[in-house]
Amino acid sequence: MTSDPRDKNSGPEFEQDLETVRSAWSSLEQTDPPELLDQAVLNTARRQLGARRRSRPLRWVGGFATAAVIVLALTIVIQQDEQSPAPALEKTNGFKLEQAAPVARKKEAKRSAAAPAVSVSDAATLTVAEEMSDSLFEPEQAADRIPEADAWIEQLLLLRATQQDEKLIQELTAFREAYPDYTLPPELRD
Amino acid sequence: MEAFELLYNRHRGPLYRYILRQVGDAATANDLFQGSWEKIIKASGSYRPSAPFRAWMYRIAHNHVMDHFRRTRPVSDLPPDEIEADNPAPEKQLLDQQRSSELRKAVKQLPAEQKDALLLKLEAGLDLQTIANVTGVNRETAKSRLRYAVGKLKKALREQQTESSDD
Repeated sequence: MTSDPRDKNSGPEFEQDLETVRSAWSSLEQTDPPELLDQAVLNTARRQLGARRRSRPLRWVGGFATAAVIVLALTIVIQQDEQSPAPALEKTNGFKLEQAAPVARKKEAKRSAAAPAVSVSDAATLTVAEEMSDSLFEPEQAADRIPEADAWIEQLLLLRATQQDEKLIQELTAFREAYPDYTLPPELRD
Repeated sequence: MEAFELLYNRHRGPLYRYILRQVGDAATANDLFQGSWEKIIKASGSYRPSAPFRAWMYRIAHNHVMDHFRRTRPVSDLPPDEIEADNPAPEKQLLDQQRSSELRKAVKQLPAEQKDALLLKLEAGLDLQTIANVTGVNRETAKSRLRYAVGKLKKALREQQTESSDD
């Protein structure tokens, strides 16, 4: 008779065997990478992540430009209002509001339609990860929407390290909702 | 950068041992370890939080090691001296060393896929579904590989125990 491991149940007997092996495994030395290797990796990270930070477009410029346009538009509207008689003002405002609502709704619809396209294009920009099928990770994610706290923290740390600030804020907010009592590591505190 | 360092410090040891025990020699392990991290850093800009970091990281390292194997098979059969303990030992330590040595030998003899699944379990601490994701197979295949590997190691340990009790 041959002892085929498939004959065993994957339950308690396998777990017991795994525990035996794990216990023997723990007697093996915990070899760590040499210090020079650590330095080499951290230097690479410093160089590449630092370069990425320097080459990023200045986000505040976009925000500043938008704010300036809004202020300018408001100034013009206020000046026009001051110059126009009252009934005309009501009419104009009413017209603007009625017109603005569908436009805003259309913009919102466009934005939400564009959202998946953004993540698809993100996937397309994966370099090394191109060869990795992200979809492989999906079933697990779908089954468990809220990741374990420590695993989630690691995701947040990587977002922080790569300055993906918008994603980081979104994820951090979700994390705080899911784990309100969790003490964040200093690297994630603002 | 502090955030990256924190991640690096958490995973450097297990990832290094995962690679070292796959390839068996420190020089190659050093190259592959550094190469894996370079790829991780390069890909990190487009990381999406849809996958746990650890699984994502091990998948990159796994692919890097497999690429190396594809290029360089067959692997040297020399024992991995670099991971042997070099301090002289009393009797118990000697027994432990023998046990460790037997265990390493048994791991070395495992087919590559089984060894990979076992190391992802024991060194990386991944669960079965994540091992399947990382190695690009379904859960049943990952489970079967792990079960075979564990079965063989258990057998090797039992044989070694019998031998030492006969002595």
